[in-house]
Amino acid sequence: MTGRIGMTRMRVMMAVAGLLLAAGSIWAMEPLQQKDDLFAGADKFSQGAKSSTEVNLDKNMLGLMGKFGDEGEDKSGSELAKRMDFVIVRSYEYAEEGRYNIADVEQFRKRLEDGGWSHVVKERGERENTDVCVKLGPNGEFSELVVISAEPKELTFVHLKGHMSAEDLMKVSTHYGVREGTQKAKDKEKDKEKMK
Amino acid sequence: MSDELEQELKEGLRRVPAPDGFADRVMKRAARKERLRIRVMPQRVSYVWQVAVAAMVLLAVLFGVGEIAQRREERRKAELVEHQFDVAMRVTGKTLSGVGERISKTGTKDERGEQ
Repeated sequence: MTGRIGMTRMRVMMAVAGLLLAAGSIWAMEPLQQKDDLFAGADKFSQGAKSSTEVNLDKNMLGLMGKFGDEGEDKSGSELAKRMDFVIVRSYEYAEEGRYNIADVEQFRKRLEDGGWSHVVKERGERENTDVCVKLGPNGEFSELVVISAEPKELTFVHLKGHMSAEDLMKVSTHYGVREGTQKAKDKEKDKEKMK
Repeated sequence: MSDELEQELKEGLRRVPAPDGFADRVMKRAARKERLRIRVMPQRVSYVWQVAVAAMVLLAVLFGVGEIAQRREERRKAELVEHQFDVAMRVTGKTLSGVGERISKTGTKDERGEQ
């Protein structure tokens, strides 16, 4: 009799422990990072960089944007995010020129030669080299965008995949780019004032 | 006066023999009640129920706490994602607008050269 009660008690406790373990493992599950073959190995450019920005957002993570309704009045960011499959950005800033090997960047550019990429911009200057490549979707929308920008003190890799219209890209370029530009201009002015 | 009261108390508290079969009837009734109680909820079943209810309450509390923690964690992640997306778009925007500016400058130079 006591043995049966003991067994029942054991079973109940094991069931509770099992449930708790299962629940714990579900809560502890972290989303995996989006894999990107195009820029695999680009993190080597972080060596010797003054600052590096690395963003890796997959569809699950992007789906979290605007979920709690606290992104303010401008919901364009979260609307665009929801149409994206992934967002990968690697940006490295160097204190001085020549801190990275341009030949290393070339191997990333070569990856764009295959795979149906359309070269929208191929800029080869004395100091700046930029590649902007896109893939078009069936509705004429951009399904993928890749930017590789190599400046003497700055190296940027961008890979966006999702449903983006030309308007979206314009908005990204003007809204975010101008904001960043304005901030940089302000910083430069501050630096000038300090120099005085 | 006090003698009267004492007498009354003695009379009232006087030992009276129980009616015939009283003890048997009480014992039978007690046994019947015990049988009924056992039939409704035997001791073993009662223990299992107690454990089950305690486990359910514990689980409910744990799931509740877990739900709150998960929601808080999701909110934290959402804020992080919003920040990262903003950073990504700023880098992309800055790069694209820089390219755009350089192209338009080159275009203007070319136009001037042609003129």
